[in-house]
Amino acid sequence: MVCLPMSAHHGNAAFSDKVTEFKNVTVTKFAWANPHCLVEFNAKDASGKVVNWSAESGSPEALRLTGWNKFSLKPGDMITIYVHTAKTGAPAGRLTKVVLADGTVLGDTQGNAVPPTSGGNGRGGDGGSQY
Amino acid sequence: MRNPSANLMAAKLIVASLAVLLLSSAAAQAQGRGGRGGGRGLPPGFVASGVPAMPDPVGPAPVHDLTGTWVGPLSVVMGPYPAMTPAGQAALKLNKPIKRASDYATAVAPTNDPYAICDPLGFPRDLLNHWLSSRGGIEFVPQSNRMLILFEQQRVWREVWMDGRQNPAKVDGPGVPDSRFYGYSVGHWEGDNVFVIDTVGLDPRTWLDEAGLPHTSAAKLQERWTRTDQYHLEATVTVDDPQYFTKPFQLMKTSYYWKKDQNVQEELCLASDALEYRDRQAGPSGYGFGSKP
Repeated sequence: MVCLPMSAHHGNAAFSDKVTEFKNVTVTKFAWANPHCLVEFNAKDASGKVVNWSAESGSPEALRLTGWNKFSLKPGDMITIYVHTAKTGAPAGRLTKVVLADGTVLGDTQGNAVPPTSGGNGRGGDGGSQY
Repeated sequence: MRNPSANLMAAKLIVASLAVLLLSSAAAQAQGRGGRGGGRGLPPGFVASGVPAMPDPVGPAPVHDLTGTWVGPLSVVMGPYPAMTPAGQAALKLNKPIKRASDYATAVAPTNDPYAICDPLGFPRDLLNHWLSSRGGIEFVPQSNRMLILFEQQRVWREVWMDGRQNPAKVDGPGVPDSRFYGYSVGHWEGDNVFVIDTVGLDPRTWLDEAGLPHTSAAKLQERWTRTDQYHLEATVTVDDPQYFTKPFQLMKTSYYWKKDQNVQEELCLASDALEYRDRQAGPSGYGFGSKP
């Protein structure tokens, strides 16, 4: 398990600090959308039951800077995805990276160097990224 | 900012963070003016993530000219906000922003942020370009009798009239215009490089900031856009809304940078996407987008 900083416009306290690896799972949907792109995928739980998960990332404009595009993922793709899962226990979370079948790594929006903004206004406070 | 004491705390936070921000901003400005970039973990040639630096030497600001596409805001300082009137405090309580990390000690209430379902940001919240992109573009397009300001985010525009007309003295009543999400604006130049815009008639459903700061339709806002050199643009927005605030105040100070490729992207908030995000992701994750947690 690895602890990484996260950023989101809505804060990150809803998510676990730990990163969970979902190895060789199947993409069911990739939403290239504002305010967050979503990767939806099927993964088996401990009992072998298939659960449909949803993991958000930054916005399309932010992801473009880290090498993503609208066609980076499509339903049926086999990926390994790393996720800070929701504390509620729901099958949802914030992704940190996706590894494609060919080994390509697509990271989230960490490292955004836009200067952080002032507190007290709903901006900033979570780190440099606005997402 | 939910009450006067919180206002004070917010003001302190802002003052504290201002120092950090100024340092960050100064670094970005220095990189921008130098045209080299590469600081703060950036690749060489960038003043901010995804924002290429323009080359040296930086020329002076042209006279009465904001024409072109600008990227930002690269920095934002909000407030400090003054105390609110009882009516303002009551209005503030009705606005429930999306919860932030520091708010998770308490139960997460559903937000009623209009932009969570892609209702218009309106002016001046559109200047923050926050939700979708901190690298959003705005374009100033001068006409013979007005200035058009185009916004990449949501592909909206404002008309700032410069033909001598006056803004409406009153809105939302018999025989007067309706309030609007982007209000009514007139503009003029002060000196060589400061473009001043006065705006009234803003629809009270919009928020002044991301935290739900309310306003009335009687609010009067003034922007001062200062082109400090060829590639740097600064803006301040002041608010005079005596029904909700005990005195006029500076709502925000922001900065923009020349967009090297001059392209305006398309960054749209789609209701269908927002609703899926709310119901599939944000609600189940428990951060208060109005869906069942």
